Amino acid sequence: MEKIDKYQLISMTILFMIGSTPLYELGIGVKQDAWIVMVAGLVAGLLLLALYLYIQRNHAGMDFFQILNAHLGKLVGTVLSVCYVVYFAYESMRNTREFGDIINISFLPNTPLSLLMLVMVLLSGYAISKGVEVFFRVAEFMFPFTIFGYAALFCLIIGSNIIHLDRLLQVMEHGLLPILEQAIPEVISFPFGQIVVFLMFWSHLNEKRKMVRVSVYSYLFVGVLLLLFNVLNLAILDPSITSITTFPLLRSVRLIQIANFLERLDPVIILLIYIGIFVKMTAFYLGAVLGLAHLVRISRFKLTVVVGAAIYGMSFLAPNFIYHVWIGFAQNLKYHFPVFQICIPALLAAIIFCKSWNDKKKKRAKQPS
Amino acid sequence: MRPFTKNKQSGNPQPEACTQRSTESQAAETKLTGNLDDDLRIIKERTGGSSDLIIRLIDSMFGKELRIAVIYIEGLVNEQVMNSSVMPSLTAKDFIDPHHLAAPSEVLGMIKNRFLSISNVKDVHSLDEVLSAVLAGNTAILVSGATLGISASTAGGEQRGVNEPQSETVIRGPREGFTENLRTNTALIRRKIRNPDLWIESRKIGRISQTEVAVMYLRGIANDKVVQEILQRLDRIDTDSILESGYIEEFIQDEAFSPFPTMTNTERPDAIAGALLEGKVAILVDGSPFVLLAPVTIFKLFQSSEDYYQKFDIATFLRLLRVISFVVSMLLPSLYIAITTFHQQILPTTLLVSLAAQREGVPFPAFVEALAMEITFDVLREAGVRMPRAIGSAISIVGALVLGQAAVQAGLVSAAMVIIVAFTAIAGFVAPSVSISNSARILRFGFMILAGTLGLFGIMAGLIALLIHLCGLRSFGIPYLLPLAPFIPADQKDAFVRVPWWAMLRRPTLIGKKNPKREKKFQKPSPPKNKN
Repeated sequence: MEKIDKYQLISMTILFMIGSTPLYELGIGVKQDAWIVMVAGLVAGLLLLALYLYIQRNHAGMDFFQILNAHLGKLVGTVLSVCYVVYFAYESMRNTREFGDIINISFLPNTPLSLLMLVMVLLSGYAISKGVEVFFRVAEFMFPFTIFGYAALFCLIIGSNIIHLDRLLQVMEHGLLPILEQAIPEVISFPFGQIVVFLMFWSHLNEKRKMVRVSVYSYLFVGVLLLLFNVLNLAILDPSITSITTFPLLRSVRLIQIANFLERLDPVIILLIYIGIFVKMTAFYLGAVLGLAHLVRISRFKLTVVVGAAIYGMSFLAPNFIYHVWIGFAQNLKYHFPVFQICIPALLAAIIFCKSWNDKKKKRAKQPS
Repeated sequence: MRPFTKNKQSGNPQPEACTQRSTESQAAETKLTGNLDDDLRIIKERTGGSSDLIIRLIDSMFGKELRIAVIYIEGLVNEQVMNSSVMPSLTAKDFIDPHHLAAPSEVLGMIKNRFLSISNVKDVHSLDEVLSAVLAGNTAILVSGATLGISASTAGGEQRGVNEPQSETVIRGPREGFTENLRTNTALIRRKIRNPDLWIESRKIGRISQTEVAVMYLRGIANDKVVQEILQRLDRIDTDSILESGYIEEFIQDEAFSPFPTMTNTERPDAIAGALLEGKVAILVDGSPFVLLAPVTIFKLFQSSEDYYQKFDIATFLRLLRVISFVVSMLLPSLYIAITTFHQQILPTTLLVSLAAQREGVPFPAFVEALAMEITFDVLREAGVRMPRAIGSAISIVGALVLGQAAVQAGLVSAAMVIIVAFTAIAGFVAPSVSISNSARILRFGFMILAGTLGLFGIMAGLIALLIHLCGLRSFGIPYLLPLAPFIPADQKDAFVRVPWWAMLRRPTLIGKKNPKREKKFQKPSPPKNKN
């Protein structure tokens, strides 16, 4: 089995969670309180992470599909496995289409979307064909550069003096309820709940003892980072403008102006975003490939090609970008993703808990005799 | 007229002799017959009567029936040793007591043990051994009637001396470089590491060329698995010749198709000594001053041995500079293409205006312009390497003036493009290892195509693909991006930065893990405390 180490897990968790999230202003439905939605999502996501880690801790060395099969029986396990493969592939496709469209709109308007997405899927497929270990090393190598990039961006924003924290004022104008409504389940499903795919990777970790600590710390680090950019967008652009902008971050970045030299940096920021997107779409793609490997017995390379073709094909489902984003935010996040991120894992954890409780009871019953 | 007829006479019977030999030699191949005339005739036949093979017959004091033959190849032996040590001992007047008649093998023993003043002497039993000894520059001594002979080490002849290496010059550090002679090279390394644990394993590779290849490592520090793996891969080579260490490199490297070298080579003995002390393995090939090193990681290719002799702060600065230069020489033309073609908005307005003004008269798109200029530069560079020295100034005038300035004035290329190409070229020469700058040289064109089609996104996609390739690359089992991916905190001391010598406590983790400790702790110099 291919092994990954703790630094690779840290890098992967952080880059994966960054993904395309900084582009969007999550929770903007409640205007200037969006950042509180983010905090709520972060805390709720932490609970979910605890749930996933609980499942993994009880089954060291097994990945999610093996755990499903072990506890829910062959039939239900297989059905759920198929569902998860589709879910992972769908998540990967969402990133592919999303970024393909961003590039197409803001970067290369004359290049066909199909070509851009093909390049992205081929890149991810290439990484996956090299194996889990190589993909994690790629993330590890990218990590310092990405963090440096975001840190530099942060410094530039501060340096150009465009932050107006008073725009966050009137905290909780309409009370707590609308905030929670926004946070659950939308902000949990994206981005925090997506960490469910790590159930496919944690079993590769070489130091099992470090798993919980490393995951939680990386999660908190990236949560704070995302929160920071959420707040920055609000403070730079004002909630009213933020709410009508598709990519608030790009709009904020355009305001950066230092010494009449560093300005209009949005193409560079898009490249920075691409690192996160690449990691996220490849991670989901890899999850789908690893899952499918349990279901059908063909070579890794063929699996990669099959899943890649499926992702590429699915990415043409939405007729345009607006529809694609609407499907994602208005439909998937509310009704579909929570099933995979919350319901099934919770059910699984409950079963595991009952079983282990039963075992303990049996042991206790045995001990006196 | 006489030489001509003589030639004809000796030339004519050869075909017959050849056919005769094929049946005869099979029997005679293994053993010396003891009949000196037959042996010498076979030796002459097998070498085709080559004019540099010298056979000197000496009558011994025993009379005609006990003759001695001295066989060597002119030019491969040290004439001085021949004249002062070998020949006097065989032709001495008081060679032997004339009343005492000895058997041929006894005579041979006496020559070997009493008269021959040569330190390295071996017995030879077969004609093949005689031939290979003679071809290696040794002198064979045969005595009529004896079924064995002597090979005396007399190798020498004209050789290039130890000079300053041409390809890797340093400001501070030893000035000696390897030569074409394997023994000189091993000696140069041994002089730096005087330790019995410095082991050499030799192989003869090349069915026809019979080139000697030596694998050198420090026992107890080098990873045994890596050493075994290298020896195994060397043993698998079956080819007719090894004329340079590049042959070996292509036969035994890990990934056949990679723009990056998974073995490195150097001309500097001090670089090899430093690498051996880190647990690496050196492969020396006779006839080549370039010694191979394995395993190697990518950051080692940006390091010069001088980094360890200079102060650590400047060494660190230079290392960072080299990495940046590598990236520049790989990406600068493609970034220019991408930005001027697709993303003009990144540029500050004033720069954009001046660039647009320059490009106004240029008939080509930036991609074609850049491609043409890069190819032109590579042509100039190749011409600079191959041309005779005398016309160097002509090339530089043509290159700099005609192709640079005149092309700009004629409006064929923009001045900015010339600057870009020139800086790219200069940045390419910063890398201390030629192999890594060659990687950038090839990849540059790929990135230019990506930039010309997909802009910055294309460059990014290319970089990610390159990164995936590099992450999957291994050099003899060692990940190529070693201290960064996988990340090893302890090895950061000698990757981008070089910490002072007193802080280099351990050898590189994966390569030298057999014997990790390098030096005593707490050696940081500090002024002595004043007690009064």
